[in-house]
Amino acid sequence: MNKEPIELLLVEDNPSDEELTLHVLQKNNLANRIQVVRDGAEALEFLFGSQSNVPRLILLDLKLPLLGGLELLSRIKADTRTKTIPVVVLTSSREDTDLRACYELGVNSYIVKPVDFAQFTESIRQLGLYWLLFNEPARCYSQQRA
Amino acid sequence: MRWFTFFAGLGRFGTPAARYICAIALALAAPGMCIPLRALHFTPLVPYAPFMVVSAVALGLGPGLLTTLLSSLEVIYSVLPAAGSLGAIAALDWERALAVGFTGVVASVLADRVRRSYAQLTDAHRKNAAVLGSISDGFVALDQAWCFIYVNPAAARIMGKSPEEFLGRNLWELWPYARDSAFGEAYRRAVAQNVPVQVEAFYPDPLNAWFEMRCYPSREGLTLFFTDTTERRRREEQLRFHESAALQTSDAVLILKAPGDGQTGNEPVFVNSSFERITGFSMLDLKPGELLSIPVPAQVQRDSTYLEQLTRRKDGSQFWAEYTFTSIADPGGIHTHWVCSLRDITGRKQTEETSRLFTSIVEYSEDAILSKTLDGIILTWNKGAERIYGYASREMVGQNIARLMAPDYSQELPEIVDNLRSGERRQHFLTEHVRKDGRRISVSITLSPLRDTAGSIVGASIISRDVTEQKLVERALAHSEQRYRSLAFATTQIVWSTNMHGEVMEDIPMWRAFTGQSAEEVLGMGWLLALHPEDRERTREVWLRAVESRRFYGTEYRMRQRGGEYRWMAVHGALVPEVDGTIREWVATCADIQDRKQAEAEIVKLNAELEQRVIQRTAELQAANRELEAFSYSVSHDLRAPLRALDGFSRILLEEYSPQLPEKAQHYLTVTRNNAVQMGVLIDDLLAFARLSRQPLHKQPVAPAELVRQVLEDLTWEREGRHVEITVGDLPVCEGDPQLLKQVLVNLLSNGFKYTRARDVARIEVGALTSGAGEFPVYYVRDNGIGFDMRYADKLFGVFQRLHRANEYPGTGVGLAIVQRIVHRHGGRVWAESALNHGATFYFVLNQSAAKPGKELPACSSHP
Repeated sequence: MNKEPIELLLVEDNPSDEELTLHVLQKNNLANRIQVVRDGAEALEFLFGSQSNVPRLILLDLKLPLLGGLELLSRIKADTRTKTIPVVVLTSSREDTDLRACYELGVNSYIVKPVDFAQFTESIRQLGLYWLLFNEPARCYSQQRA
Repeated sequence: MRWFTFFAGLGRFGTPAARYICAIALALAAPGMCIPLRALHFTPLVPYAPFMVVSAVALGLGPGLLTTLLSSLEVIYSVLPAAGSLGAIAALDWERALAVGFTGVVASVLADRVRRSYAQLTDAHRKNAAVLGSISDGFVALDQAWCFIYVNPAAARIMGKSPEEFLGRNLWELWPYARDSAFGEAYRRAVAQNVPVQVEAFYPDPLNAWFEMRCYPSREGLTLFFTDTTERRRREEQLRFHESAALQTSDAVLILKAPGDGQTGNEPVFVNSSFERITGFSMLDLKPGELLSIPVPAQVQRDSTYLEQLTRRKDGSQFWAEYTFTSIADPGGIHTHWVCSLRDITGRKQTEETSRLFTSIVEYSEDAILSKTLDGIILTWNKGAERIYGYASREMVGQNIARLMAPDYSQELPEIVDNLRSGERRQHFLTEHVRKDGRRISVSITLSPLRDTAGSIVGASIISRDVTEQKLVERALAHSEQRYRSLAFATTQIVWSTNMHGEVMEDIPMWRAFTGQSAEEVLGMGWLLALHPEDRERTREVWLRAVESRRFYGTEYRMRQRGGEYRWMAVHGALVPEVDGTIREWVATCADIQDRKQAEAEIVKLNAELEQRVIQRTAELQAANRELEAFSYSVSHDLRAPLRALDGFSRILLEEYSPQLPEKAQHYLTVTRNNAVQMGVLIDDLLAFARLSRQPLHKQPVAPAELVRQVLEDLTWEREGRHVEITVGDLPVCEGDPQLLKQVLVNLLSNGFKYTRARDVARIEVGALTSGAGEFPVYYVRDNGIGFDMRYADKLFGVFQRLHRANEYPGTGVGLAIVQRIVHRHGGRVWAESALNHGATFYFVLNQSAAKPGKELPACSSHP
């Protein structure tokens, strides 16, 4: 694999959603270096494992096998190495409880996946543009790590 | 001599006719005297001489001459009968006759002279005698032979005889006592020594009087002046007695001199020793000013004045004094002194007071107090008797006591009388008497014998008390007691009583029958041993606390039955107070409440079970809720993801592979995409609906008008390009969750817009009906849309229930279900009325009680 640092970590267990998300991102040239993990445990391994990675953005589904999205979010925001990474929750849930829980844990953005693909495409495009192109990351920390 | 006196008296006092008749009588009487003298050969003329003299001396000159003339004629005719005629009378006889005549004339003249000088003398004498007769002293004159020669009228009166009875009588013969008494001695001394002698002595019977005698010797003998001094002596003696009495009497005597002119106050002039003894004041202490406490009468009365007054002694103590004031007047009748005698009557007063008290006790006693003779005749009758029997005293005094007795009790009478005669006293024996009005009364009688001063029984005193009321009360009490006993017997409860200290004093057979304790075991606090050991100490404390605090006693304890089984008992005790507020006793009941206790225990057990079941059910419900939440969650995630994939990949196919796809395939892909999107909407609505149940209500005052404004603004897109008239009426403020109420308005208004789509002019009206103050308003949303058939109104609010085809009016059928769910959660209700093609009106009210289904409110409604 490419030695370039991973730009985006997509945590998504649903292969259809993964494929559609990746389709939109690639179609819009928003991320070339994308790492997809299918559950929370895999994500932990990616972030805090032997080869710890610090992606520029994490797209996180809440409903995940093994380790749920909320648990993972709390781990990310609790760890000094990962807490500056923007995390965007991308989920089907409109539940107030989920929304409140996520914002309390320090999520950077919360996006409900629309069923309508046109809306979905637009949502992904917008967040990709915003977080990967316009938003200025906490660069000092990244450089140190680099 | 008597004759002379007779004639002298006649001569002095007789009429002239009487005197002349007497003179004739004397002349005629003379010859009678001649006959015996003739026999003696005495010259017959001699007897005439005395007659003539007597006549002349005693009767006067005229009668004397008449007697002389007649006597001379008688001598001539009777003494010289032999001559036969005047001529024949011898010269001697003439001489004799003339001698008689001469003698008579001379005698008459002389007698007249004598008489005249005697009359003169008598006149002087009479004058003297008048003086002596007028003096009040007695005066008598005695001659040398102690014969009375003069007695004045006063003397005669004093000695009780007429003066004539004295004259000539010998003093010693008439008054023999005088001879050897002081009187006689004085008389003799006066005569013997020729000196005046005065003596005062008592002459006993028949005079019984004291005489003061002054004896003066005189030429004739003795003259005596005397006075009856008996009265004077008596007075003097009386005075002496009085003085002595005044000095020695036990009464205090005070003599007060009346004030003279210009003076005030009575001046004390005399007090006796009793006065000093009784009052403590001596003469020296008494100054006029200090006699204030002596009630000297203001006016002089004819009789003595009596009065009683509380009087102060010198030492300050007081006593009741009876004063007698007697006025002393001088001979002119002017009041000069008061004689005041006073007597300490404190003792009498006390006796009087005591007697008065006794009288008033008897008189005003509630009891009838009467006395009667042994024969039953009533002697006294007090007010109490009047009250009790209704007879007045005048009606009963003198009547027989039998009148009071009830006929069927009359046989008691003889026995009572017998008892009385033997001096026996009978107390409080009960009988019945009859009142005046005929009513029978029960009386309690006390009979005591009455004795006279000699101690013999003469009657009885009767004290009679009307005990009719008391008898009634006693009877009522007896009934009450019986009722209590019967009640205690009849009740299944154990009835018991204790003394004021909470100790059982009397056997409680019912208690013993229940517990099997012996009579001795129950007594005192022994009854506690019949209680369950665990209950004893608590019961004892509760009981003693109740006894101490005098409060109602009530507790429950287990009591051992005869067989050994314990049963729960409820005990209730109340105190029985005495009239004075102290506790006489406690009475209490024990009731077997074992069954109730068991029932209670079962209820407790059931309640606990129920509680447990509720907890369990709640837990189950909570689990179900959690499952439902998990379900919703998975629905929201997992159902949407495939739809997104369907839509997404169909879209990619259409966008990126459309040149390769025939038109038909493209259409199918479009249909697939539409369905996927529609299902997404369904899922969202369903989730929203499900969320409503879980979401908590945040009630607060809400202004629906503001909500309507917001909703209309949000729904602007709905009416773009359409002609819609919206009317918003007066919407009262209500209480509710603003977010949920907004959702209600969103759903109703978007329905309104949706179903008026076919109208050229859509009319939407939002308003409220208020039935009255305090009532909750009924809000409504009305449209002029296509409406619905009221036959299907019951399906209107069901989830996924639709009354219109989806291709005409797209929708999920969840909107009204959400409206209903929200209204129900507010405790209200929602309903609708419509007619096909004539619009529809949806009503809702947030408090169910406010919405009374009536004529103005359509029947088509939905209840939670």
